[in-house]
This record gives sequence, structure tokens and C-alpha cells, in this order.
Amino acid sequence: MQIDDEQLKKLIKAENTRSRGFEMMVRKYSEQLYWQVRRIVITHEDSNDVLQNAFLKAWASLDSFHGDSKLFTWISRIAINEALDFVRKQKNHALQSTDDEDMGLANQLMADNFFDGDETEAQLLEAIEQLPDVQKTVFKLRYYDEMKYSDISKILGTSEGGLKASYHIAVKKITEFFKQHD
Amino acid sequence: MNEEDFIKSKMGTRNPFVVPEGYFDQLTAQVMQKIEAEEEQKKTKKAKPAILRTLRPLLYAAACTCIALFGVAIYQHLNHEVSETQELQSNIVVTDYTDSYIEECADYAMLDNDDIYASLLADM
Repeated sequence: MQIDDEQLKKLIKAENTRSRGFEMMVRKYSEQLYWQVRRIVITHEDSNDVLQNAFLKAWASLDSFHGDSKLFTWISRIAINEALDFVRKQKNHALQSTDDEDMGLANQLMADNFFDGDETEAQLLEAIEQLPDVQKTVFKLRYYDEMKYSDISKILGTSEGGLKASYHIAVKKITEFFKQHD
Repeated sequence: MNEEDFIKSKMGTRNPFVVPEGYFDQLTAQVMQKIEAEEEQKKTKKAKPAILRTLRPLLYAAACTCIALFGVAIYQHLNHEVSETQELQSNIVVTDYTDSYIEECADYAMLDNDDIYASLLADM
């Protein structure tokens, strides 16, 4: 049986039930959060690390959660920011690295044990990854998670109008991708 | 059909990613273990600095004394070296300049034309 958010908030707020409440929250939302993170980070190992770090950060900042926003929105914001930070660092590292490991995301995915898609799906994911950062992130959060523009705006610090425009451009580019591969 | 519907008809929202078997069953326990470990670490970190915090003023005082002593020692050492050099130089002055040398210099400095002519005539 799953506990509702109001009860969870009460448990988390009280010192003596905080750990139990947090554990219940992790159990309730970890799977949903994992998929949000996985779509941004792509590999399972990295997603696992990012998600666990996000929960550690959430635990450390429980005092700053005032309870007026939704529990999932709060924890999701922490997890997505952690995932975006990770991708940014990875990108910087790849720019500085002289290793010739760049075999293309589609090929990497086809060799990944935790990817169950076909070649077209792998190529589509590679095409999405090649979009500029904001377009890519808004597309993933909006298309797969149906997240509201207002929530995405709070996470990315971009105006809702800008996000709508970015999403529209991303959709156009992905449509082009399909037309080229038909 | 708009572009968004077109994409949905092509790729839907199927998730091509998978996770290791039983991953989500263990995830909560793993997260809570990490949190417990972090809390333990925090407690030990807090206990150690308590000793340091009480000793900190003493450590600062000891460090200041060491710096002051070092400064005084350096100052005295330099002073000693300067006075030794000065003493040495004054000795050199006294020993190098003899009376005969000074007289010779004084005589040479007082030569005038008559003395030079007299000296030349004397050589002839």
C-alpha cells in the first residue's frame, strides 16, 4: 500500500520519523525518478550513481523543504539538476580528453546490455543527444514525462516562452530525422 | 497530423532502456544504507573537531610564539653579522694605511712647478 504525500511530509518533518518517512518516499518515487534521470544520462551505471547522489542531496536538504510544493516536484528537481550537472561535467571531460573513444552514441547503445531498442531507436536517441542542451532536455521532460512547462522552467531557469520555442524546434528536427530515415 | 503526433506514431513513448534484474527492489535499501553511512561519517567528523576546537586557541598561541622567537633570532643573527663586518673593515683601514705612505702622498700632492724644475735640473 502506498502512502500519500501529506502523510509522507508529516513523517519527514518530525525528527523521530524522518528516516522512515524518507525511506517510504524513496520507495514510492525512485523508479519514476530513475527513468527521468536515465533519459538524460543514458547509461544505467551513471543513472544509478546520479540518482543515489540526488537522494543524498535531498536528505541533506530536508530542512529547506518547506512542504508547500509537491514532494515529487521537489525531489524530481534535485534529481534532474544532478543529472544535468553530471552530463555537463561529462561533456567538459570529453572536450578535454584526448582519448579516441568516440564511437558514436548509437553504436555504444547497441553494445550496451541495458539497451533493448533496435538500431533505428539507437539512431533516434543519438539524434536527440545532438540537439542543443535546452532543446534536448525540454524534449525529454515534455515528451516522455509530460512535465509542465512551468515546472521545466523552474528547473532550467529558462522562460516558459523560450521552452515552448525550444520544444517546437526539437520536434521539427526529430520529424526531419524520421523523414530522412524513411 | 501535426509533427508531435507524427513522432508519436513513429516512436510512441516506448522505453528502450532496461535495468538489471531486481534493481528497483534493492534500490531503496541501497539508498538508505548510503544515508546511514553518511550520517555515521558526520557523527565521527563532528566528534574529532571537538578536541581540535578546544585546543585551537593554544595551537594559535604556540604558533605565534614560535614565529616571534624565530623573528627575534633572525634579527639578532643579522645584527651580529653587521657588527662583525664593521669591525673587520675598521681593522683593515688601520693596518693598511702606514705613516710613510701618507707622507709620500702628501709630498706628491704639494709639488709645484719650482719643485719640478729643481728636480729636472738636479737630474741633468
